[in-house]
Amino acid sequence: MRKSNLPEKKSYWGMILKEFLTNRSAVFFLCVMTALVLFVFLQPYLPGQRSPVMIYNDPATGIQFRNRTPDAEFWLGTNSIGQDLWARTWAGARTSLLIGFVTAGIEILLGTAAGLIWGYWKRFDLVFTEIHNLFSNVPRTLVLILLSYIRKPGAGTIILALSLTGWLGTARLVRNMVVILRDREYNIASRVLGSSAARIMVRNLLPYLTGICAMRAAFAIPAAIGNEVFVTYIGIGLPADMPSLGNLIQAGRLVMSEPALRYQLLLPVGIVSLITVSMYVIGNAFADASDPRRSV
Amino acid sequence: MNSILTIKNLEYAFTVRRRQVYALQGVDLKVERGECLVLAGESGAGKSVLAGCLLGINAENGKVTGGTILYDDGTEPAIELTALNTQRDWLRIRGRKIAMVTQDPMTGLDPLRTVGYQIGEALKLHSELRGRAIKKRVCELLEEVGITEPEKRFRQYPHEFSGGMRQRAVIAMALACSPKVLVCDEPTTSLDTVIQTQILKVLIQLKEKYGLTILFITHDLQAARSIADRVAVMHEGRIIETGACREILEHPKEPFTAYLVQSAAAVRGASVTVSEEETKRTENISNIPEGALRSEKTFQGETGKAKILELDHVTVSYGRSRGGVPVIKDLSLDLYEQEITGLVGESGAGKTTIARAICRVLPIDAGEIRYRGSRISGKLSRKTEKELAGEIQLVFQDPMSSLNERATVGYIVAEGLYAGRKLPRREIEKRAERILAETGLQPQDTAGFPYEFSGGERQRIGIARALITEPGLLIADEPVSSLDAPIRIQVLDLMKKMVRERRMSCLLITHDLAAARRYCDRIAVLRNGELVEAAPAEELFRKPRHPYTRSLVEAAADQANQAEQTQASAEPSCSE
Repeated sequence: MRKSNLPEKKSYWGMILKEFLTNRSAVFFLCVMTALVLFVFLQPYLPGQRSPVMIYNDPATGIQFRNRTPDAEFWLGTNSIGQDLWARTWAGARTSLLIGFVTAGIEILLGTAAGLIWGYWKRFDLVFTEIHNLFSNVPRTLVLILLSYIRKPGAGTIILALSLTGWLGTARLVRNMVVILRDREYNIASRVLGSSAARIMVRNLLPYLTGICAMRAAFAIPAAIGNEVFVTYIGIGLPADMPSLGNLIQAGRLVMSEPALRYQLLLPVGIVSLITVSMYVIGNAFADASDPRRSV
Repeated sequence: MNSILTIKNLEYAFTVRRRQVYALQGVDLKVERGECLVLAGESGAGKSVLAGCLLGINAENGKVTGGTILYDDGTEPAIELTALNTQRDWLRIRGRKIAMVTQDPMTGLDPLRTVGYQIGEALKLHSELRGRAIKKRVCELLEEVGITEPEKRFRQYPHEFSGGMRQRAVIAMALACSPKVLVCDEPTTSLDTVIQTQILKVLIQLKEKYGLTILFITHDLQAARSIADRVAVMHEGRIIETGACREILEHPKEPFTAYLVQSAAAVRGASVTVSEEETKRTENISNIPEGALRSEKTFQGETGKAKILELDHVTVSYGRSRGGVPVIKDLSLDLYEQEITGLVGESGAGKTTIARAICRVLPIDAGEIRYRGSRISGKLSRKTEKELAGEIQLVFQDPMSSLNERATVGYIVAEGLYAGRKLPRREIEKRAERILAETGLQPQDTAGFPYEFSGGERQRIGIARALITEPGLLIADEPVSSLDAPIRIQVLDLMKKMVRERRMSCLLITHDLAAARRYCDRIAVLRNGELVEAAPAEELFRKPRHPYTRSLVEAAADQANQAEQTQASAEPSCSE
């Protein structure tokens, strides 16, 4: 099989991008995610928005609007203590997306860097393996709980706790890949040509890791949100006055038994699902695009 | 009586990145009952795809786009193989009517199961036999393919089998359900000559005994000689010529067939000139002059030449933490400026180890390596290391694993320049294009990725990459042993030409003494990590001193004679 009418393509990354953009469902979900992120962060500045933490009272009786059903004033109704659910949902999504993206970013960056060093230089193998064993033997949940106790509850704490453990898995995955690739002939060729370790890592190893990194990142974002939901659910996550998808789902769960109020759970769960599905499709498409041998 | 397989105008295409790539472009072929048809051609001609069509086992991105395959063994109504869609349909064919023997006996068997179990599995799935009866049948099959002590071998794992035995086991597995047609896809390519002959014998016996029809795929026409009734030559997805084996080998009609016959002979050591026109047919090189293609022996190894590389009592061992196994033992060898030195030895002799030790990929345990007089083994200063980068370059054996699949050819070729010299990007790109053109590729190939290139082209890319830094010494580690016969000569000729033009030295590592004679000024023979003998090439052939060298020379001469015979009879018709 050979070339001739191939379009001019100059680099590996350009090729990946081009290939990725030809995947229609991936591009669709990328647009969805972009729209979601944009909306979530712009929402507070739109006209007619309410505060997510303010408790609204009925001016006539002075009592809070408890579980008011959606109407023109409160677009999604209110929760059990009279806060505006529309505002809370988007504020929650904001917090959770922030936690998700930051954690996934740290996990992939740190994990890939550590994995490259761990795998590439044999002399670091023992040290890193021991570090990995040490950390990975402590259950993630325990770290989450401990840190939430030590530090003030908040987004920072959750990000720290999740990143502290998340990079280990990525690092090990990357390390295993690097060990397999390290002594392949094309890498020996590069060493003989006088390429530095950094050049070999960036040009020879990293392109082979894009697939697994993309998949890890795609899973890390929903996982971070899920973990946040979990710690918030057991009551040691974010402070109650800081809305997050976790908070909302927990609150939604409480009213789930009342059929008339189930709608409160719907939107936060919908957003989590949307993020999970989108990231999975995007990550998958990116991983597929990263292999030039892959036949479509 | 009808032919057992009738292939009519078969077209087959793969979809690669939304482009259709035609592997078969209208194949017409008839295979008669009970014959052995050899399907010959270069790699990439579509041989394996055709075999895959017969069993419905091609990759998922491929499909039959036209034509038909009809299977008719005379006992049932004919089956149109191209009309089969589901896996269930194919199961009636696979193993029972048409079975396959694959190229690589290593991957054909599951390393975690005993050989007996694996052969028995087919019986369990396809026959009524159970328990003891299966074992009995498997032992019969093993005996049939010439494996002694089948009872003992039944319980062994594939790693306890040698390459030849494994291939026999794979044949036994294919025969388990008594198929009518056996498709052998390069079954002997990864085996050495002696074992090859044995396997072919087994196949011939089986064919006689069961009236098997054999479709034997190979790129090596010489190997096919003993087994073929008829030969079909395939080129670029078409059958270009069919005929009786003798007819094809001795009076090929098509120029391509003649070329295939000749190159198969040439690789085995006969002094053949592959004419320029034929070379051009397969790959576009027009810039190699006549002389470069001839096996010239004009170069006289002058004495008093400067040494470029000295290996001084070098010992290399693996696994040093636990005592270590020395692979290279106390080896001393000198390479001279502007000479091509051949390093010959069987696999396991330590040839690759030496190459890697010289390139400083492997550390040496004792002794010293000197390049142009200065030490390059052990710890070096940063400055020396910098100077040394790009001075000694490697060309690898396997063109598949030696190129970065995820970089453009432009980067791969230019890497040595990016890594070392401070050159502007434009200049680097220009040089990369220039060297690609020199190796017979197109300058615009810089934008391609390695997967778009054939094995021979990839090896050219490897050579371009090694030469772009203008090294003083080029080490070629079995550069052609994974390529087809016709392409081998092209690549070796190209390498020789470029080495000579650049006045470089070259260490050509090979297991093929005949090739070493053709291309080297001086030959060193290596055995079990020790140097047996080193002498100028012709001298080594005329007066081999060591008995081991003598046995190698004789073996090479035998092969050459065989090839020469074919050659002699093929020659007249070539000039037509």
